[in-house]
Amino acid sequence: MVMRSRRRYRRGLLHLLSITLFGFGLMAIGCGPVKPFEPPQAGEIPNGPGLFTGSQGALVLSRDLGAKRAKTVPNDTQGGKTAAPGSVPSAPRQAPAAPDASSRKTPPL
Amino acid sequence: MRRLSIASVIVIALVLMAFGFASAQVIAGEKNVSLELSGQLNRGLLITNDGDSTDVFNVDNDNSSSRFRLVGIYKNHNFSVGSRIEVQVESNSTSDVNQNNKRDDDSDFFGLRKAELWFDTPFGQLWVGQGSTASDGTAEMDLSGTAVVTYSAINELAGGILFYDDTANALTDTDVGSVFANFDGLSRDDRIGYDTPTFAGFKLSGSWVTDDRWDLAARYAREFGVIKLAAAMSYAKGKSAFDSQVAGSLSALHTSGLNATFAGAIRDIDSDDDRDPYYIYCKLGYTQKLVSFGQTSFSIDYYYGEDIAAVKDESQSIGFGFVQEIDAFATALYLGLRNYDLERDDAGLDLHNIFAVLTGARVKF
Repeated sequence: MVMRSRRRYRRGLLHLLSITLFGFGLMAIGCGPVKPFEPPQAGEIPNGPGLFTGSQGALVLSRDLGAKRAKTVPNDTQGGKTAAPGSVPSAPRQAPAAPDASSRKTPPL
Repeated sequence: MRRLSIASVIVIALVLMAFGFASAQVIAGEKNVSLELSGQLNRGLLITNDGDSTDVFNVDNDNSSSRFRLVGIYKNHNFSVGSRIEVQVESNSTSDVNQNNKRDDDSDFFGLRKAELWFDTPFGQLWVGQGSTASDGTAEMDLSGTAVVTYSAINELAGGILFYDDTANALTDTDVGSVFANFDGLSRDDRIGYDTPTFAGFKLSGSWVTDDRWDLAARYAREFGVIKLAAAMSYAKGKSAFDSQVAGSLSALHTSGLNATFAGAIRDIDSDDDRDPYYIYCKLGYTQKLVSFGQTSFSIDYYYGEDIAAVKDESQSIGFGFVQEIDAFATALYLGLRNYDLERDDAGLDLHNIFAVLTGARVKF
């Protein structure tokens, strides 16, 4: 029984490795300019605008009124951030243009 | 009553906070800091048939449950410190309701998903607290656009529904969730974790998790001309439920909208040499902006697993997913159809297939 169990475990690992190799095959097929991108995370709150929170997708309490949010907020999960800043999301959504921070009037401190 | 009062307090607090934000008079005390409030609601209707009866449930879609979060950030040049509290508010979860429990009265609908700190430096990211372990999500890479209703965790569409035994003409105590797992690493837990910076699309992660468990993971994401590719793989060392586990997933999306996703995992259980649960999952899909108001996505998928809950169990499932985004309302409308088939090595048992339909909307607020 132990031998059978080990064989199946190894077979499972081989299947996973096959999938990985298949992925690298896809990379070769799609040869072209290589760019980073940030994949969506299943089960998490999606990136993008919100119904009440507007283009930033969050109510932001900040001295800069959230102007730097896109540069500061990391991904939702450990290991999740795989792309360089400025990369494009994988499931494009027609986001309204971000408000011009310079046109805002910052309240007196 | 107690649940209602807690919910009321939170809702009132959120409304007051929103009112404060909206007035634009409340600002952070220091420069380079921010505090954010965001969340989503995901409600739907679940219809199931177990071979004996058809049931309809008002549900919260556990594929991406209703929740809200507070995120605080301090940033100074290349160094930032963040904190996050994320709470799930899930009444009648698709993973809990079943034929005998249509109102899910027994479970708490508040659940702490994340309470964590992180330190982001040019040398990587350090995580402390309850949140995603390194291996969390490694079986769930999915570029299909239909993950809100179907992805490798196929049990989340109707996880609480019980199988019906045609021989005994009675419901069993075996539910969908226990026999259709996706073994997604160590999930969320109390941990200390580290992520390397990204090199050429690769990132490595590791975490030490409460109760002497640990995991390692590698992730990759790149766009190669006309193809986007995301892949992940992990090794997790468990303790009571399993001894070790390898999980992985890969998803590719062509600019035409055609996409393919694969996932799989296998567990080693030393205490039960006869049982090495594993599964494979594959999905084919199409996603494109077919209408002006948002992305449209379709997918079909297949799951096969063995020994998931008991020796010689065979779990199979075929599903269909449809998602229509409505950009103007930050909303995704969805429809999922799924058939669950469990073969159990018991001559006296004849489990009927379960057919489930889930439709609803996720609104990011």
